[in-house]
Amino acid sequence: MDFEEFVIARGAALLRLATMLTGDPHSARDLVQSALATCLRHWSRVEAARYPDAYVRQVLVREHLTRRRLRSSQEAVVSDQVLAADRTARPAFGVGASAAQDPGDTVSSREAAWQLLARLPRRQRTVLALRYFEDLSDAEIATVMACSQATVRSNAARALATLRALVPLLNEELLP
Amino acid sequence: MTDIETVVRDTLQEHVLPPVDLADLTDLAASARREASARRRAGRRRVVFAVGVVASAATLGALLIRPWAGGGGLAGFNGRLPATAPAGWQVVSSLGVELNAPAGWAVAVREPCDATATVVRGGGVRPTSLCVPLQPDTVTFVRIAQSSAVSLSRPGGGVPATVSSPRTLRVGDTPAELREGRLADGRSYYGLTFSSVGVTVEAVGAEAEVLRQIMRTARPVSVDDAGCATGQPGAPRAAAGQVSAPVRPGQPVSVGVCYYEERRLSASTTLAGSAATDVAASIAAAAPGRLTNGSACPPSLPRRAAPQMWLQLTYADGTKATLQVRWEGGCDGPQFVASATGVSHVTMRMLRATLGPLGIGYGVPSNVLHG
Repeated sequence: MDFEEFVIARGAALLRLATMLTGDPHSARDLVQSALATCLRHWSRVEAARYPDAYVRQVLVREHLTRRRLRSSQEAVVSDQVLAADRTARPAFGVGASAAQDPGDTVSSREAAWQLLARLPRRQRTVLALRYFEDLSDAEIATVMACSQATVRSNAARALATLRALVPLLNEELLP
Repeated sequence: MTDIETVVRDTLQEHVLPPVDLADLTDLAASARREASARRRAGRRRVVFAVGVVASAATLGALLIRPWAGGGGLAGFNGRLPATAPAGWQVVSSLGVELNAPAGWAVAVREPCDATATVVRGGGVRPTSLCVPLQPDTVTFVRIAQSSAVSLSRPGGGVPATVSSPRTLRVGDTPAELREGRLADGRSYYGLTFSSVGVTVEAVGAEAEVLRQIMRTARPVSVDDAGCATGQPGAPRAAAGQVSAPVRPGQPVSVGVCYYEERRLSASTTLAGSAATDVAASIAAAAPGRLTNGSACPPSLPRRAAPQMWLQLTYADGTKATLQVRWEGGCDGPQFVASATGVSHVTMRMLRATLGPLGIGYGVPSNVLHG
């Protein structure tokens, strides 16, 4: 499969994953473009790989984790102050109301959860995206991110703990 | 799976994404190829630069690193003068000012609604129009413009803005004035004016850090990264005389394309590999001599200085040659390509190979189209 054929066949999936990693479709396109440019330099390796998709996905994820933080102003570790501020602002996210609301509230809750995910530190967000969007095992995530499984688990645990603290009512609302 | 894990899974898997069609994916592949090509060029330049630095250090015993002479202590704008663009960035030059922009950004010059500026376009640009005022408010752009054409109340000719008073600094040896501001739609604005050359670099966009990274690299140059002089060079001898020999450019390894308007460098690029070969082949295939003149200027249009294009050919053994693509007047098309020893027709194939990569757009008069 040549380069153009691969992009046409798999580009949409890469863009979806990149959007999960970056939280923003414009940054996602930049990331995919950059990863594809990296792969293009050694395209014969991609073609020779047993799973070309996995190869490019690994390049994409590592590019995301290591690239210069052009958008650093939009990323911030969720601090205790932010947690406190967001708790007081909970109704604005639509998560402070009762569970017997119309479906639009569920959509706004998902949107609120999406915004919170986007504010997690980069590695934590990446672990969640690979685990819950790509359905990779911790061992596979460790390979993709070039770290140990223990690191994957600790990143996931921290991310989930942050989200659980930030949206204590969100899960009650979304779950039956 | 815990409650919060279910929320995360549902949120990720059910998030609505913008639709992607075949044209998007084709464009993505082309953009990735351009970025890979730009990285290769940057890598070669770094190797050449490193060899030069080592050789100079060995010969002289020391390197003189010139500190920034600027005052004011403006954080971020430290006046450094980068030699080339790093990986993922491209060098853009116009009107004697050069800057680094993201490699994926298209470059458009001589936009139809403002003939005085270079526009480096960013994400979200509406491809049907190069005019800044007609672009959506989400566009990020950087342009190099004549200072006389810049409006501080409407940067880029578009949305109204609130702009600070200028702060004085120096970029290398050149004094400059920096303005910062915000457009009414919330986008950030930076303007850097080099009064000595009458040029202002304007940057507008939502991502202030990207804009600052670009603006930090803006610097005045007399010869740009593609080897093009800021001022229009003189014509080769053959261009003035009657020479019947055709131009035979050989097999260059790279071609610097320098395009001048109103006798100032408007746009430039460096072509290598097959792109350089295409240029040489198109010239070699052209008939000898000049084309007849194109249409005359309509009486209502002022006759501007004719644009000129110079091609700097570099061969594998390091030798160089210069060719000129010559226009006769501001309303005529290009008539001929000239070397020191020959003159050949300008052809469509030649224009596609040279003006095409500049990304500036061009009209083709009938004498070239049918020549």
